Amino acid sequence: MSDQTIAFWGHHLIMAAIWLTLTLSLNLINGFCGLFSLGHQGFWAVGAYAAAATVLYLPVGSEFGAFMLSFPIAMIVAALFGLLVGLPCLRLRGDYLAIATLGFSEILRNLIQNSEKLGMSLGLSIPNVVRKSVEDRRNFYLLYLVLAWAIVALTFIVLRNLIRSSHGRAIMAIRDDDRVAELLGVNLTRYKVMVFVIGASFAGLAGALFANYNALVTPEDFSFNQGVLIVVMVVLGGMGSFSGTALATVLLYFTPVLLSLFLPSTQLPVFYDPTQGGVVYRELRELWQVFFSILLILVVLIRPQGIMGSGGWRWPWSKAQTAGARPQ
Amino acid sequence: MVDFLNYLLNGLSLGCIYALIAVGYSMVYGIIKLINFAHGEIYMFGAFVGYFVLTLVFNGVPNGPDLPVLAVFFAILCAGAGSGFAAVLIERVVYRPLRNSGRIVALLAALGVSLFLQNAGQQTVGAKDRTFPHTFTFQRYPRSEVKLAELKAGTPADGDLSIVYQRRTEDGRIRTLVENVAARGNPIAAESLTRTQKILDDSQAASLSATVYQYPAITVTNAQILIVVVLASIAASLYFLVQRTRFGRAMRAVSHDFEAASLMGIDVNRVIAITFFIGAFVAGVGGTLAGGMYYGQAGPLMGLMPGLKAFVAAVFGGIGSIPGALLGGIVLGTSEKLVEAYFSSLYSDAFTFGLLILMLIVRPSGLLGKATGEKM
Repeated sequence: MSDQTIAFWGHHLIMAAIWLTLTLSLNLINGFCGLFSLGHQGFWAVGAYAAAATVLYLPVGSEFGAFMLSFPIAMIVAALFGLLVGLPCLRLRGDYLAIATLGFSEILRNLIQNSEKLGMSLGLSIPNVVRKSVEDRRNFYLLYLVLAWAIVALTFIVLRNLIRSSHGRAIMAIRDDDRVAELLGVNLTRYKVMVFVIGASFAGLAGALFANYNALVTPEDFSFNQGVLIVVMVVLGGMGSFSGTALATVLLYFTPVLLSLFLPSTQLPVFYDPTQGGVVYRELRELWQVFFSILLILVVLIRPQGIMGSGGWRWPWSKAQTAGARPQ
Repeated sequence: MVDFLNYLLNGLSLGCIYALIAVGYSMVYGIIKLINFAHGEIYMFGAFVGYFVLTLVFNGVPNGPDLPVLAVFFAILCAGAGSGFAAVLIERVVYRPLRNSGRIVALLAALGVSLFLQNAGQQTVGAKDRTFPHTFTFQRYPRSEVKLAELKAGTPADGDLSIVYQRRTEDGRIRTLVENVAARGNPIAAESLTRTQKILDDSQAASLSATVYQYPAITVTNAQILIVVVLASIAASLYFLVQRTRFGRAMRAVSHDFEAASLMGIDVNRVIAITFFIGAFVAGVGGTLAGGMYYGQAGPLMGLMPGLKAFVAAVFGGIGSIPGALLGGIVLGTSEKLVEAYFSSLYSDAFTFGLLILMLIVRPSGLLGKATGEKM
């Protein structure tokens, strides 16, 4: 394989892992606990900026030490923000919770954009520690691939074990009917905050990975539209289904990549605009974003319950009980 | 005190713009409990309809001469109608099939439509913001003409920053306008400096012999008056429509109990479609009037922030309530301008969303909304 091919697919496989970490962790909040959050990009941003700031500002001595520290620090800072968001949002549910979490992430973005230490709207550029220490570019991608997918595996194992434990039962009981859950002795406050803290910390981990890999974080990377994409992946996968979330994330991440790669480069008339000198032509390949959003709407229309429905994928021989959401 | 009143006036016009968008959010939510996230893009769509009508039909160009009043109103009406039909189409194709699929799914579809409109806009009209055709010259009122020398003695001192710029009018006269601008912000967005004005330094201005307008401390522009008048007339007609007509009664019935209303022989689909049309009509008017004529620009992403802010306004006033949306918009716009003036223009977004969260926690039903009794 040529270096270019490795760089291309390596990059996309690493980014897909970052998105998987985000969607799996949002699935805990949205899918399993039924707290519809639109603010996951905020936790992602907090993690990314915390990691970037650690690498840049923390006097550890060695750059590699700062790099290693940036991951746990990002998780802890994001978890703190999860607590900060989770506590005031306890009283809210449904649409209102979605709006409040969206509000929080917009506040965060506004604060980051105006913080000089965090690079204002230009963003923070940090030393790419791994890139500097490996000579071969191939090994750089290989190392990050292993790291990224190890993080996905860690996220998956932690969340799956959580969901399969008694805590998981409590979390899903809250989603199904929080009053009944409360009557049965589930501590709503504790579990809701816990879900936010755990979800946020893994989003923070994804942020640390993104910051270190990309070596540049800007507020635009964590815009509202990015958050929408995370939510779309979770909901289209089927809320409360690991396999559905994973499948939807991979599909939705790679659809644009493949669209931009394989759409033929033909000129297409898209619009008639005399101010631009008559008929406007665009390359078919440039239109992938439009096709992507149409595809999104179509999937919602054709399978409103998500690609996997709510049950998730089950092996024919598996006896594990379904962890999926009840249809509303 | 004088500054305060000026900020208040600027805030009022910004608030009216938010209110124009918020009405649509509130009406749609009131009737089918859908947060129509594509509404900000409907506002953008309206701005572009207005842009093309003004450019193609009336040959309007940036920096051009004033257009006839009729053209301005025709463009605004076209923008409203265009947005209205677009929204009805979206409702028919996307939202109606999902009406029984749950609120989260419908919310997602709305986000998808919003993405689609942004992307399609970027591919068709181009990603760059366009300068809106010049429609009418903004005037500040009240005003008086004085000699340049008199003016130089006092005025620039009482603002934070003075901008002196000249405008060549059609009869070839040069006018030097002096404007006091508060630090950092753009309180006089109406006087968009992107047009023909050129910023001169003091010595250049002094060398000009020109008629100068000097304004008293408190001024309003004709654009601001127009926005307030348009909003007030829309509010009055909406009140009449909802409270005094048969259709309004049907609307209230559908909003109160969807199924019972359809059992009573109300054509629910029609009521919902018309609700979408009205909400989008108002947003389209806002797009051309405020986004285009007032701020002087139109771009495919222009609906994003005003859309979100207007949504906050709708929640703040009590989502589902039309008077609430109007009040919420005005309160939000005014307080945002006051925060920009007295605290920092950088943190106005954080302030707005902070206000939203506070409201959601303290009183989720909003200023004028009915408390549902249920925990939100």
